[in-house]
Amino acid sequence: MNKIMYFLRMRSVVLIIVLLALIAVGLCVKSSFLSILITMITYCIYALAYDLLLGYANQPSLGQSLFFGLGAYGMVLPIIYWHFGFWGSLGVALVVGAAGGLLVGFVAVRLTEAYHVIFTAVIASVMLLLANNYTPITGGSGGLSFQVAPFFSGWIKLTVYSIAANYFLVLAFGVAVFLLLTRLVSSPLGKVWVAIRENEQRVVSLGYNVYWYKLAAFVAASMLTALAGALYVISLRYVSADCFDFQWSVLPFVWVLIGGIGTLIGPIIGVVLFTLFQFYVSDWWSHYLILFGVLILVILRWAPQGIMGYYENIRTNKILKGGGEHAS
Amino acid sequence: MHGSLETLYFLLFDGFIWGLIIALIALGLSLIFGIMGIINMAHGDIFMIGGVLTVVLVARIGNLWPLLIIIPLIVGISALPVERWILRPYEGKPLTTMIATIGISFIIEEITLIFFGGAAHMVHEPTTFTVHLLGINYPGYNIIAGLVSMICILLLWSGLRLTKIGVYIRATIEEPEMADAIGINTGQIRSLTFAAGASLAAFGGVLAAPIHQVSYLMGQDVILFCFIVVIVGGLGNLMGTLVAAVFLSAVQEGLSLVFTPVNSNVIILLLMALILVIKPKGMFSS
Repeated sequence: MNKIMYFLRMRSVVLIIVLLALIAVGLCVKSSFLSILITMITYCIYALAYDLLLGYANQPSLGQSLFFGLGAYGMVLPIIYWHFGFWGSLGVALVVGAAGGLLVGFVAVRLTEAYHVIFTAVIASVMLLLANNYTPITGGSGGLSFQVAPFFSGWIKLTVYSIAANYFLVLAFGVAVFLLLTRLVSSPLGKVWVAIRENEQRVVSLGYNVYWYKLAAFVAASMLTALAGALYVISLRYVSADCFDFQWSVLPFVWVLIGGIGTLIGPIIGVVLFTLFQFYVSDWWSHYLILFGVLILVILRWAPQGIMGYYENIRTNKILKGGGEHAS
Repeated sequence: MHGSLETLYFLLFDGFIWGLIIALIALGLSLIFGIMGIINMAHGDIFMIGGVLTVVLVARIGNLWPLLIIIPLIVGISALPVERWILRPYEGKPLTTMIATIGISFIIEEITLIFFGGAAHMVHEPTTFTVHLLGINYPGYNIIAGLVSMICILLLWSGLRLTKIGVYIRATIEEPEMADAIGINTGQIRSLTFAAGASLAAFGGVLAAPIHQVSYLMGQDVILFCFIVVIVGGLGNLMGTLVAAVFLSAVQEGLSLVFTPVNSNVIILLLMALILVIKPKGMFSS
């Protein structure tokens, strides 16, 4: 037991050090490095949302680009058409994301895995077609650019045109989402999700209404994905129909897969590694999608548990070798 | 009013023909899922390879007809190692197979882009006659393509019903463990089915080359429609897939009389969602 507590304490110490380092970087560095970090933190929110859905509630959606795009446009369109402020349009984006999640989840949640995967993927693809078609509203693949007025967050006036302010805004959201999910997965709701993942039949026979729990996970993940979409376009000050692109549905799976499914640290590691890969390799070779494809196959074959899974295996082996007293 | 009714008939007929070609691709998709539990996201790209090879080889040979045999053979044989060495460990896990085949699909598309270029090509129709049909001169090739796919579907159906391998395949779909237990080499059946499914898609690609624009992305629209088809018809349900392909394609063409193509796609999608709400395992599930 002591050893487990030790690891837990180690983990929070490491997290606090990482957080302090991130804050220090935001204060000191004033280069394009910050914009990579902004992208990474946005992706982290996306990856955590997907991990909540796949790793905890065991729902393999392949249509998350739908909610990413809904969040992006839910953020931008109120700014452009109704001159909403930052918080107002963020609220719209979250509501739109949750509503979309509710509508899709209503059908998708009760489907078996194969139908669930295809159904979500098809819906997202049709949404991409729609977004590309209704160019007067969405700007199509050419996209729309927009201005974000300075806004108050608490007592500080922020403008996203200062890259440091943008960075701290996104970082605050990232930390909030991480803490929220840490709390959520250890709450009774999170326990039920894990129970559904491990043995759905048994949860049904214990008298839980599995449908509502799964729907709750789907809506929560959609909402967080919409948040990621909103932050993504706010940092770019540009939105296009590409936000609905199928690649945005594949990416979260790849991030979670690299880092390790069903952990909260794994997705973050996955995002960091893969974003660096994407950033440098796409710079170097325009056909980097080939490497992306090869990478997917390699990870699936040789590291299906991801980096965290690998780490957990080593740790379990160590604890087991150390003696049986930690078995409980 | 008479004129628009005639147009509707024409569109429904056109949709029916295209639906037969779609059925070839969707049947391969459904068969592969039924036997192996693989959701093949690269299936549209196999169709695209069929089309691209047609463009390349027609320029060499000058004739489309022999390609209907040659290209499916090439594609089927090259699909064998992919199934055996890449996909075999993931069979039966829909999401994992989908991700793996997405990886394969990225690789196929980018390599095609490198060697074939991004421009869209068109293959000349091998026949020049037209049929006067419902007041419109209908290209004869489309009718021949429809007939050829119908023959191909009949061959597939009778192969599954009447030959020994067909019985093995159906046994593997319905009772995989039992099939294994009574001594059917299900490993070989899997390889064979995957190759057959890929050949069907490539065959569809060759047939579609003179009708559809050929580019490295041509698989993407088709795979979307095929997935709707297999979902509505029921994954692994071959008869359901065939009916859904022809029906949905005709409906989509009919809708294009009133709506834009994208909007009719949305209506088809809503139809699919409605069917899934009522019957979560496809229109023809019991």
